[in-house]
Amino acid sequence: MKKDRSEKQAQAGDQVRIYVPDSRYSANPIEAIRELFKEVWSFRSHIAAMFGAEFRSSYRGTVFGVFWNFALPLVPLSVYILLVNLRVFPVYDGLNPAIYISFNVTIWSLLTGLITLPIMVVKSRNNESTRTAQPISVAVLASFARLFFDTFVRFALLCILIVLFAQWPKTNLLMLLPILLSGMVLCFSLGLMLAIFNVIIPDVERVVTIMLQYGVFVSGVIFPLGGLGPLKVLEPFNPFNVYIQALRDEVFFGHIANHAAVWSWAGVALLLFLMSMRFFYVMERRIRGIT
Amino acid sequence: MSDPIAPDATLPMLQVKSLGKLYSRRPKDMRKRMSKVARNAFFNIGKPEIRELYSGEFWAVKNVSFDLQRGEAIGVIGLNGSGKTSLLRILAGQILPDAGEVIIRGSSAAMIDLQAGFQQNAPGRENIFLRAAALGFRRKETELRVDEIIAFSELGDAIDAPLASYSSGMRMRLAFAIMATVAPDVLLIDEVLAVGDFRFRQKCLAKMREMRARSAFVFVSHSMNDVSTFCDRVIVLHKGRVYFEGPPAEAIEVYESLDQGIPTKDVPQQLAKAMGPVFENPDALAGVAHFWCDEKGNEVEEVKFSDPLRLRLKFRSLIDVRALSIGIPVWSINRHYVTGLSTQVTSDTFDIEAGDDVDIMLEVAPGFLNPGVVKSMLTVLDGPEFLYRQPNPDLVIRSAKHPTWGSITVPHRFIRRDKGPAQSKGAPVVIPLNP
Repeated sequence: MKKDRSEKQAQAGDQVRIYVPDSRYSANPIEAIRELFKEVWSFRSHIAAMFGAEFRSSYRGTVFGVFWNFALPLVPLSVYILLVNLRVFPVYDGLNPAIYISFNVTIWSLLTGLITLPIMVVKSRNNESTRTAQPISVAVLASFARLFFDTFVRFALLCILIVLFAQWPKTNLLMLLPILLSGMVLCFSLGLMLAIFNVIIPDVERVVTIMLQYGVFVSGVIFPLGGLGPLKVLEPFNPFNVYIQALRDEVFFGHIANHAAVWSWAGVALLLFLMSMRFFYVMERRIRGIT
Repeated sequence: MSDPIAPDATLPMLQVKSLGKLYSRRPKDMRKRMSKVARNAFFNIGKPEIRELYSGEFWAVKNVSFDLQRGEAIGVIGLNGSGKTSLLRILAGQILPDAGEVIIRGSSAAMIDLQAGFQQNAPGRENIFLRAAALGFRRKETELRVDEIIAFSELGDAIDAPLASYSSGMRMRLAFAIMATVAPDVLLIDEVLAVGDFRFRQKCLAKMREMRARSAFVFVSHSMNDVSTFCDRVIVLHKGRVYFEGPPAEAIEVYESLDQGIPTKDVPQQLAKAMGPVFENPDALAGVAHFWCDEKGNEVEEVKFSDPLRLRLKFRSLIDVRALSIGIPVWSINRHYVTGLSTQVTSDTFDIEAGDDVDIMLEVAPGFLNPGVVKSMLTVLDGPEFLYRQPNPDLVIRSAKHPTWGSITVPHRFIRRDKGPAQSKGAPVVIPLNP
């Protein structure tokens, strides 16, 4: 098969690159994943440099400096913790409300970030991408560095809360990691697909934003879906709810309640991952410059 | 996917074959086409083909072909909107072509846009690492070159100021210094050097000359002085097509004729002069039509190098023509008189009487005229008397599978006398010697 621009620049001196229209069409999902991985790997220094530059530029010129990078991710959590202190939220699942909400919001922010960031990055970088040979996948991954940093900061606060309220977890790491990974893969795959569709049909981003704003209330983030009466039936069909509940159960109780729902969604995640990787790989260069 | 192909040192560093890029004036049309592409990609139902253009679509680059060897510099000039930057972006891998093929043997770097790949809020020093990382350099590798880059750019203390505070000239210095230090095999340089002051531009050109021993250059510029001093040959792009390819002096002449507003359909003035006068005798021939065509006689604007050339001539004769003679002198775009096709060569004779509707087709064996635009004239005579002399429509001959030189390729072959004819890997280069 003819090679596209996915070859490693650093090794380009040893290679022949051929650019032909739609050369990526013949790639299967595994080839697409391999090529995307190679592409990202070859730009790993650039991703690190981009993250560092973005990290510094986000506080450059401010009085409090790097403090903002730690404070801003905690703002959503702090709002909920404030409400907890006002005794707005009852105790769910035997967990302290502050821990319950902080945990859920941390996971929710991570999962939804994996959907919204690709959409935002592909849209904002699409025009610029016609002026650089840098793949959009690199910009998407660089944006995740910030998401993961924010998640880490929120997780640190969660740990402090756990110590503070002595709510000791009974984490089953063996199960926790695959579930978390599966949820992230599902959301990342959705994000990549929607990012491409959003370039072609710009309404996609708005629809996603609205759905996520409503979605936070029907995903067991602030209160369990069971509290919404008839909407309880949605529990296994809302992947956010399934993953948040399963992860919470795994962290604090060491087991999950609904195996079938979790592993069904894990299957969907794998399927979507394969589809989205190929779709993104094929479309990434085709959508360049569409504004 | 196949493994990367090992480059052959004897092959060109850059090969561009019948390159095309489709753009749309209306985002709606582009979205429409992309919807089809996305649908095919999502359901994996095969490559979408460009069968027809939507009303707002046009070829920003069409049928562009050239080769570039190590140490060579090719200039690309043309009026604004002629497709220069699109061509360069395709070569740089920034956008995909919609037709044709680009082959790059070795590393490449592009200096097309001074904003791209830089972080505006970060200092120049940090941007060196960013840009170098985008070119595939690790931080440690870049660290070894930072001082050299800063020294070449002559930015001094400004290197620690945010890029947003830089002038265009300062950005260009930084971008060029990084690229020159990275020293890729193929360098693609757009108009960016123009923003530098005269002294630094000379420094850049000197550096590029220094790099020529190992690199090949594609150089887009509106500075005819830079083009003529730096490039070995020059392509004039017009409306996305190669309008002329040849030595810098001639290319600049063609470009200047375009710049002076000579209608694009017309040949440049000097070519028109070379092609001689036109003439018509409406009392002798009526309804004259002549055009390049395919085997069915349908008009075409371009043919493959490997296809026969056909020209169709139709007219109503109002007189008895006793000694019909048809001549078609052919020129290349750079005014070279290439050849002549004539009934005097083929000894074809036609009896034509008054009132006849005549339809004649000329057929030329393939592989003689090299890729490019063919300019020609149709001359119809009755004995020594001119009945008609008008230019034929331009014909574009698309690129050959093998390299070509000059305006024509004559039939030839190499024979190893000790063992017999040479073994050819592919199709024979041209026509057999004894057809």
